[in-house]
Amino acid sequence: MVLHKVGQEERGGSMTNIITYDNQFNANEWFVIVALFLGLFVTFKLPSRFSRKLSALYFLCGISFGAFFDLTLGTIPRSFYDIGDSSTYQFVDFLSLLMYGPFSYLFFYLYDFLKLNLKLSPLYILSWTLLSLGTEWLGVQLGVFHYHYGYGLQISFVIYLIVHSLWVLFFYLMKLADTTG
Amino acid sequence: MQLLICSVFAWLSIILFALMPKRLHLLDFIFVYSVILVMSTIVFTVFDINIHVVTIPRTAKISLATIITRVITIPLVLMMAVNFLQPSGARKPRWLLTILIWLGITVFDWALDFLKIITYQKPFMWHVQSTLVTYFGFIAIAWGCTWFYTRLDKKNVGAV
Repeated sequence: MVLHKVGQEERGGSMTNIITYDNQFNANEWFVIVALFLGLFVTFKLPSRFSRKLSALYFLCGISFGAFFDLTLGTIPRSFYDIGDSSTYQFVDFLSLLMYGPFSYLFFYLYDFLKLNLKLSPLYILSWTLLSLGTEWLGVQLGVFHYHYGYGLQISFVIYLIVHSLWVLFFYLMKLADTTG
Repeated sequence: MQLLICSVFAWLSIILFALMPKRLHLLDFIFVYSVILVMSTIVFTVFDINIHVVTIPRTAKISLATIITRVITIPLVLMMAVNFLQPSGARKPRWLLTILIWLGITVFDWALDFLKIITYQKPFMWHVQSTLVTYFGFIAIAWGCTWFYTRLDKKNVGAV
């Protein structure tokens, strides 16, 4: 992977480096597109288990968490990781947020399908955390994510554990809200 | 100081949201919140990282103040605007309240600039126009998504 700094820009009196990792349509873009379409295919092919409203919410849940972590915590106060070809954001980077939609939908779908109780939830959360870490590791290898300031998979591990635990809580709250109207 | 002010604003928006007469259901509100969060996060990131029309000082306190504003204050205030646009039973949409919220959040954005939380790099008139257009866009898109979402299960009454 070629890393070259292409320039510095004046930002409120401080200089900011814009880092370009590559300029071509290659592995990282294909990763996003394949993961997105594969996820969407599986999501729409699965028999429905939830009401449409709940399904939309479960799909959007992943995108919201992705946007929050990738675009807010990932940029403020420091850019702990860049996404895609450059430290600025491109269309494919925003497209990558949609990847999280099928991911969260499948998380809720399987949780409901397997009829897991709270006792088995920590095991389920750990399994999805390992799956997420594996996907992220592949993303790093293909140039989707570029870490900075000591960020790494071990921090993602903790974040995934917290996020997936919140999703389990969210599942029960939404189920309650959906049945009570 | 900035962190304190942003926290107070966030809590005030929570109080107002809690007291507001609700025209949407819980699931609808969660959906609108998610839509606004994704939309506003993308737009603010482009403004900050890509086109540099705003600058956010990267100190710990101001960063936390910005995150609180983005995650709590702005989505809640925009949700209130969308809520008042919903007809509910005999109640008609309250356009005036939505317009007041729209103007209010624009003034709030100037306050963020004044407090040096988010600094605009362009002239004041550009700031006024861009803020008005941006928040109008957020409210319009969130309203459209809500209209679609609230009608989703009407076509699918038999779904589990």
